[in-house]
Amino acid sequence: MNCEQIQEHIGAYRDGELDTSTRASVEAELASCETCQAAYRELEALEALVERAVLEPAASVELTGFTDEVMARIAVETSVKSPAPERSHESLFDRLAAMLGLDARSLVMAGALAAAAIAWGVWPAAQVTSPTPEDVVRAAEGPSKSPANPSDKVAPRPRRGMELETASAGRNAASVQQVEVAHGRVVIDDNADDPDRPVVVWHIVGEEVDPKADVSP
Amino acid sequence: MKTLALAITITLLLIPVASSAAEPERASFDVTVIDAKKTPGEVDPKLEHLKDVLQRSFKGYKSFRQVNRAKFSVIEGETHTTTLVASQELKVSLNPGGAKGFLKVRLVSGDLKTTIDVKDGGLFFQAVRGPKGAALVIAIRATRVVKSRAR
Amino acid sequence: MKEQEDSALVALAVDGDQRAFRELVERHQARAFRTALSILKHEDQARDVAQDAFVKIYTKLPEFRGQAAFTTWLHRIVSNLCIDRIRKTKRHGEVEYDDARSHGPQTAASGSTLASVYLDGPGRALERSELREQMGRALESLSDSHREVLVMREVDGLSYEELAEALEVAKGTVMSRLFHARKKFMNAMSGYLHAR
Repeated sequence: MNCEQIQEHIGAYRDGELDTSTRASVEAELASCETCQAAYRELEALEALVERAVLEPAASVELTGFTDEVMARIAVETSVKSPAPERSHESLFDRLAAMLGLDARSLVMAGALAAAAIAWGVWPAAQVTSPTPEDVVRAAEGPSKSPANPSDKVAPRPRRGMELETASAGRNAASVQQVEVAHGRVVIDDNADDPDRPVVVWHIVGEEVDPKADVSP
Repeated sequence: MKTLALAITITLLLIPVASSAAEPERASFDVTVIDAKKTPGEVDPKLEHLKDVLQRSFKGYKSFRQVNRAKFSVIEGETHTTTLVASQELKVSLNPGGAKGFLKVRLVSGDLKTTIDVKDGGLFFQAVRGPKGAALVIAIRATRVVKSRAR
Repeated sequence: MKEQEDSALVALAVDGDQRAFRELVERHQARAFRTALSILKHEDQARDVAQDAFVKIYTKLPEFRGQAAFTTWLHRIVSNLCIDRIRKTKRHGEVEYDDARSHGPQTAASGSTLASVYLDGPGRALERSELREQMGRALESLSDSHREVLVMREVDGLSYEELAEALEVAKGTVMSRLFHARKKFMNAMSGYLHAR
């Protein structure tokens, strides 16, 4: 392959998608060709950019309530003749309740009943993450704190009262569930000081020093 | 009565679709192996994509060199073995039972076995620290892949 | 837990099975959000548009005859909604960069590469949202097929084989499309970053 052809393969090389012999050709060229090295560096830049601008922030965003909101919007848009306004003082929750002919409180209670029903095994619940007692309590009592005026404090997220997920990993992109080790020790640095940075699972072998003491500035 | 009927409806909405075979969970992994040292040095240009997080998560370390990198897909129930350094391997499996939006990842490396719930698209590190303070850092990003052949 | 294929869920959803549609939303929301975040400046915009996409998909379900993978279809809808949104803001008086900057020759001549403006230059110091704003413009300037292969590779991490399946093309086509897409994107991006 000539240099230009090699350049077309540099992306695939970096992506780990080349067969052994093609990979060897590209590597050989990369070792000596500055244009090819520059092309490789461009790909590095692209990846670093995507990592920083998109992947890192996306990993730390919680999409809680996303599905419920989508379903609520669909419910509203498929039953109301005129298009729903984009921004409305009424919460989605209220509109859903209005559409279903109930006041918001009944909707919340229904959600709580549903949550409780699942907790008690009334409905086939094998595929649902079982709510913890706290979740059921939260579902039952959260929004009902202001019964007189459903739109206040309950809006705008209808998921309250229906949220069944057990506490997620919180802001971390990863949460360690189980560790087994035969020798050395394991220390989990779950970034209490810098919540946006990734979790580190340390395996210390052959020394007694606490890794955190050493790695802090 | 209406409330009860509604509760039933809501419950049905909340229970995921009962499955009847077909597509297992699958995730793509991007594993980068890094040799980190506390002695002054630089960040390997190949590590641009991780430079920021490495420097934030490994503050005492001054030089980072990429030793290996691999990208691969794993289907639930299968194990993929990837080489870390010459003699060390990392076995990556995808287990069932992850919460929504999370992947349950099992890692076995030497005598260290870890199960971690990783967010779809999330990144975490596993690091082995030996004597003299040098560390072998493994950066792992896991992203859900849904094979959705529309046939 | 074994799950049904997307196509099976779509078929159920078309028949009115809300649970099936809900499962589709759960399954693909992270990916939709990431795609939107590669084009839009702000995270809450990305979330909104990702939701818009699912609402739109719901209404268009009967049209999905399975010509492409569901994920590809989803990607296209998210991406088009994002592009529409940034075009709207452009029309409302935002500064238009010189179109010539987004093409190859000019930036090549001026010697600025993505590495030189981003890795070694001032681009690195920009806020993430600023970077996304430029990325949005750069992605908008790409053709649909270039944009989709680029985002599905760089943001979703699909392998060439997975891309070949999702886009229903040969693996060699994936490689060459990606090569051109990356080149165009990098030229456009370095042009925008250079201009700041």
